[in-house]
Amino acid sequence: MISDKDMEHLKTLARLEIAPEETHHLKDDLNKIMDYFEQIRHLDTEGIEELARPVSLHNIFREDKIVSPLAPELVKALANEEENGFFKVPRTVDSSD
Amino acid sequence: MMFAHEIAEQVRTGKRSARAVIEESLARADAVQAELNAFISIPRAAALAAADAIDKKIANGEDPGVLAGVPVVVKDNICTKGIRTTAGSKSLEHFVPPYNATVIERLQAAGAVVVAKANLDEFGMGSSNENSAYGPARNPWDASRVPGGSSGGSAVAVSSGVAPIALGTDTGGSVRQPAAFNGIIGYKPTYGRLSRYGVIAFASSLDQVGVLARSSKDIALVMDVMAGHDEHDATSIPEDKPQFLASLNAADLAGIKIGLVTELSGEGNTEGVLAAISRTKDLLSRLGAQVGEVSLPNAPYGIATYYLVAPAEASANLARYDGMVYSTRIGENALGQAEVMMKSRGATLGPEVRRRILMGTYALSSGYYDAYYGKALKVRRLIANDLEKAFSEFDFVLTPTTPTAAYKLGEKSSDPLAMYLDDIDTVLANLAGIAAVSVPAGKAEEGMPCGVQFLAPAMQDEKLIRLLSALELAQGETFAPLSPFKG
Repeated sequence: MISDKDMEHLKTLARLEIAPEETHHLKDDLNKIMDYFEQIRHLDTEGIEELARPVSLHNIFREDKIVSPLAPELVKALANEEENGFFKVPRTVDSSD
Repeated sequence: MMFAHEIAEQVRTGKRSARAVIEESLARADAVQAELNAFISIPRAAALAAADAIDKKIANGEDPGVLAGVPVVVKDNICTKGIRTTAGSKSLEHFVPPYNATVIERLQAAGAVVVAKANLDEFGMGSSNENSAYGPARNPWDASRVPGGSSGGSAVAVSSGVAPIALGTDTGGSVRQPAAFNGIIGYKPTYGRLSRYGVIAFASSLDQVGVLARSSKDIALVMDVMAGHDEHDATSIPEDKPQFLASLNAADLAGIKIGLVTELSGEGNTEGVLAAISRTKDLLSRLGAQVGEVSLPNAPYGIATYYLVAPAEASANLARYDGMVYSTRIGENALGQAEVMMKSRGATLGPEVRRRILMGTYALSSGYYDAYYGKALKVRRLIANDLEKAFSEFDFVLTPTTPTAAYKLGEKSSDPLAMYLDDIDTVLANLAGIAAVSVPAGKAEEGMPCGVQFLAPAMQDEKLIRLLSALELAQGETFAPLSPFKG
């Protein structure tokens, strides 16, 4: 069972601000869905290897040749905030610490 | 709307200008948009400029490409240079990609013209197109019904005659299911045959670009253009030599063995869908194929497996929409980075996307990883093994595409689990990474179209499209008719 406390933890892990009422509904949805998933927990998978990706390709490298990159002005044009060629973001570390 | 191969032929031989074709397509797009909300953007000026460039090439005696002047509609989670690409999300409301996805680059190089960016469930998460931040698209056969999803707008575009070809993406059935709901063909290639470079990721081990069309020849034409190795996608199959056009026009199916999946062809399907399966079996037999039954014992666990794997991958892929660099930022910088991220994501990601991110976060979180995500990956192997065994006996596997035809808007949107369960037939191909096609199969209930699905082993795509062409030849013009939508 996913508890209210679990929901707060998941919201923090996923960096999602969700209003209390929706959090409550989501908790009910998730519990109903996770209940349905219980069916596979009882399947015998002893000795079965995980299948994480459908094709097994290994170390495919492309040739190390110089090509022209995306123009910096095109990329900067997408930025929420930009200063001197850098993306500007809110402060990460509180300077008062 | 003519077929792509007919349009290209007329444009290449100067019978018709690319400009005239594209103008007609844009006018139809406007009419469809007004009533069915199938598009998020209609890049009129860029489309007409591209058409003029093709006409100029022809006037200069240059080769305009095998898809010269063919209008294509592209799902709005595939990057188009200079054309806004939203993925159906508010978080990418202002995102104008500075580059093309490889599939777009190749289509345009062959002379195809992007006429519209199609509506979709946000980031491809949904089966009804009701999860779009830009409002739901509607079904052209009955506007009170959903067009399916997540490539809903792409399917509407083809079935209502805006373009002969549309691109979608298929993570758990998102090309095949809307194709079935609109009475057209929806093809999901083997994982790795089409580049995912420039395709906005949902679940990277399951995502594949797919094609919606009304003719096998059109699918073959665009696949020969788009498939083949791409060095920008590390999962692109090396040394892939597509041979689709050369594989068409099977007059019969003598010697071909087809296995109908026992677990998916009984209870849970409507009578109309079961009748479509029965008609398909008869047609296959008439064409000389041997139709038997095959069991996929783990198929019933496909939904639980898929809805653990896909959200887990999504929770990681969607971490980038944090409002920091280019996705929509909400909140003052003074709040600090963590707070701005929480606000930006909370305000710009829709309810279904939030639900799946939380599901995935839970399945991957400490203490639950082995019980959920790890377990799902093992069951995924069991499902792939079932299919491998089936293919040792049969050339193709047959199922319905969906358990029902298109339902009414709002009918299932309040019950996420009920909506997930409808993906029972389609998720298997993504979990195993194999090729699959939804083929029009006439009408189910209340005059609404439905489809049947054929699965083929990995890299047997050409053989699958050959099967499609045999079914098409046998049925002629009744195979994938345009919807009756007038506009």
